[in-house]
Amino acid sequence: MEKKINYLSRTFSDIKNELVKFSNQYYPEIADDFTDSSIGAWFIDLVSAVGDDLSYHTDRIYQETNINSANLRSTLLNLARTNGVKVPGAKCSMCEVELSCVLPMSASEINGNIAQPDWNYAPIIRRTSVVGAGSNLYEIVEDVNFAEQFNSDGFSNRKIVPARDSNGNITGYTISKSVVAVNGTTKVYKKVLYSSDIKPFMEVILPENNVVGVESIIFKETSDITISPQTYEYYVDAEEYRISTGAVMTYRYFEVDSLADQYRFGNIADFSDDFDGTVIANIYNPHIYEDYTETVGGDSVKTTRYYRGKWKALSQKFITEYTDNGYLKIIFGGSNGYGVIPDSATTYGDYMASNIINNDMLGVLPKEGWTMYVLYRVGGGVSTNLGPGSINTIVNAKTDWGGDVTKTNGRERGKVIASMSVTNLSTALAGKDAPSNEELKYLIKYNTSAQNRAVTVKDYKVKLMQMPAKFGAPFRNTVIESNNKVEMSFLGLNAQGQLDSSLPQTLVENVLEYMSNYRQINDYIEIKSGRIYNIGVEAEVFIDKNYNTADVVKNVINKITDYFAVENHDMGEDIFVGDLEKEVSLVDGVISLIKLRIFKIWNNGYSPDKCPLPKFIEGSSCDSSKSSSYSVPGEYEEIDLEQIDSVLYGDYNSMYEIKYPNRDIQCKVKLR
Amino acid sequence: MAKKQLFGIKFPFLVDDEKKYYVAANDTVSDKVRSQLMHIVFTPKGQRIRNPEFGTDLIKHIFSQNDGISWEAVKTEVSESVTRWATNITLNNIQVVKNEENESQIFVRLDYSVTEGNKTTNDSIAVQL
Repeated sequence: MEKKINYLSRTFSDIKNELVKFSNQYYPEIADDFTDSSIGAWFIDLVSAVGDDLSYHTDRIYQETNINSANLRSTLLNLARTNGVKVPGAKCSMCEVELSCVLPMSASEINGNIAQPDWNYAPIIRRTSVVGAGSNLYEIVEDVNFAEQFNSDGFSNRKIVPARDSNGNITGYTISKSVVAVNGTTKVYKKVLYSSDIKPFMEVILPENNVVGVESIIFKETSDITISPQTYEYYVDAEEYRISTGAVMTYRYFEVDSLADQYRFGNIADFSDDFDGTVIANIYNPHIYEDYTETVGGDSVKTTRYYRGKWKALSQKFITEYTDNGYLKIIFGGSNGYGVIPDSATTYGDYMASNIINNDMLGVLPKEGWTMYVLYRVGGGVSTNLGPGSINTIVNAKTDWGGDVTKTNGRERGKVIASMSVTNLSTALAGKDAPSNEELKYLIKYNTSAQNRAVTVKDYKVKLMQMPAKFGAPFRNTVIESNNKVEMSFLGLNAQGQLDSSLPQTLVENVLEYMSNYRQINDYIEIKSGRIYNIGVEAEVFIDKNYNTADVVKNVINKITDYFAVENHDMGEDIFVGDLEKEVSLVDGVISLIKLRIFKIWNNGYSPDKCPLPKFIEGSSCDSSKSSSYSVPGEYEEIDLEQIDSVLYGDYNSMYEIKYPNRDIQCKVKLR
Repeated sequence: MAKKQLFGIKFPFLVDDEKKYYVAANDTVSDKVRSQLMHIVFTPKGQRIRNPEFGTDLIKHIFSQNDGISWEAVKTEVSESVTRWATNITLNNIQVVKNEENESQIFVRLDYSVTEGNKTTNDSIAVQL
């Protein structure tokens, strides 16, 4: 028999039993007793303990190589990095808050109309101003300029309500602007860089363990800084700039998913005020944009703002990752910058080799003697989620004036500041603690790193939706492959919330520029306006005479309006009339739906696109149509629902819309 | 020639030059019992790997008065440990006396008997603590 110990024995007692058995079997003449008090048992205990410890450590190390059994935070973070998962920290809750202030009336009437708000008194509440609900603090994420109709993403977000005295006379205007507020507070970490700090893939660990993210990192080209940078300096969309002529050069570093990322999609900054192209033209909104207007009630109204975006080569970049004890680590690039002649280069060959090694593909390092400012946020967690109306205190408003301050007086400005108020319109949601180890395992297992390229038409649609909103966000879009082209169709919304098929040139250019970085080399992208099919509805109903007929009719119209609301549908979506019939039948007071007719409407104030669905020809399907008295200003025809199985089939690039619900939905009533 | 039966490792450890063993072995059962007893008495509790209860806690008496109270405590400690860990031994008597030449030391004498089959052997050892 082979003299060996069973390798399946891996615990202390198993190994001990094996060794005792072995000794008894093969060396009975040396020792006959292995009770605890014997010296032989003591030796066997020692050997068994060593074996057990080795087994334990082998198991433990193996366990940490497998995602299902790994327990150490550091192991999971390493696995996440290997699998391309960027591990998030705690998440801050966010909500929409409404900031309001009362502006005085302007001194004179304009064109005989009633006096307008005096916009010279319109304040600008700066980004990072703090509003609060008790001890929970929220920062607004962008400048709120009460003189502007838009936010920085180009969405209209201002409303104006007259403020009246007890006699009903207008005494001023309450101006409200909505803005997103995010829980947490912004802090700045300052550090002067010395030669010992500068090394490839330089790491900086922020000194707090509840950091939710880095907002921006800028460097000033000197170590002799006495005045801290203003908040806007962190958000200029350029790698090098000065805030005024002769000011110290500022270098901004951008966060990327990977240091190998070579481009970023950003604003085009406006340096038009300067000779050498580094001084930003407008420190508060230094980016190039275009406003689009519409005519509403005879007045020209600015409805949309598109910022001009473009892909820019990026060498000043950094990545962040959490350490296993929860601190946020910033990692900069690997080289001093392409073309920097190293001190040690003595030959042309050295110089060229250094150039190759020192290329900026993985990012360039900041330089010795610069001052680093890291703008970062702390906070977050589940406890920051709040109900609507909870935020009601302005804790710290960083206020500026948007108009001509020389035409204002201090007392009135003080009144405007005193009139400022805040409330949160929506629930503060999405606050979340940092992912636990178990959550981290799921994140790693079920995250397939999205590839940054558009191969299928679905990829195009996804990438389009990922384009930052400030560069244009079509209300609805569809992407198909047609004649070997990628065809994108867009539909927007106008100021009244109706579909609009006009295509702003800036939007088209931004989309083409954005997609250029993802599309396949032989893909050709064509952008078109979508089609709007305006429709009308006539509902013929029996109504219970015990109900108020006007109320029931109103409810029927509301039901039909909601059913066809463009917010509830996508481009190319089929709409089932049968479902609508069911819903109308269920309206309180409706005994029975006799007939539901759908009309296509075009021209004369409606969309010029005529719905291609078949026209109802009298006598062909249902005689009940003879009783129709439907009438609208546009051209219209009844759709033969029976021929299309009561489904309004959607073209891939079209949407159905009831443009004027109050006019286009008509109700015929019979009482019973 | 038949191999001579040995009875485990001798305690305290010794090198057996004569037999060329790295550690000397017990030649008789009574040697083995003596080794066991000394192993129990001289192992402080907590020292034995994976068995912290093994041995005696005599170390805690190191700063005690060398008087009757301490001697009783030592007797109890030794008696309990031997009874627990050397189940093949019957402890008949324990005597503790002061070392007249060194006041900080005591001698402990253990009288015991070992039964093997129908044969009972009485023996004793004295250890200096």
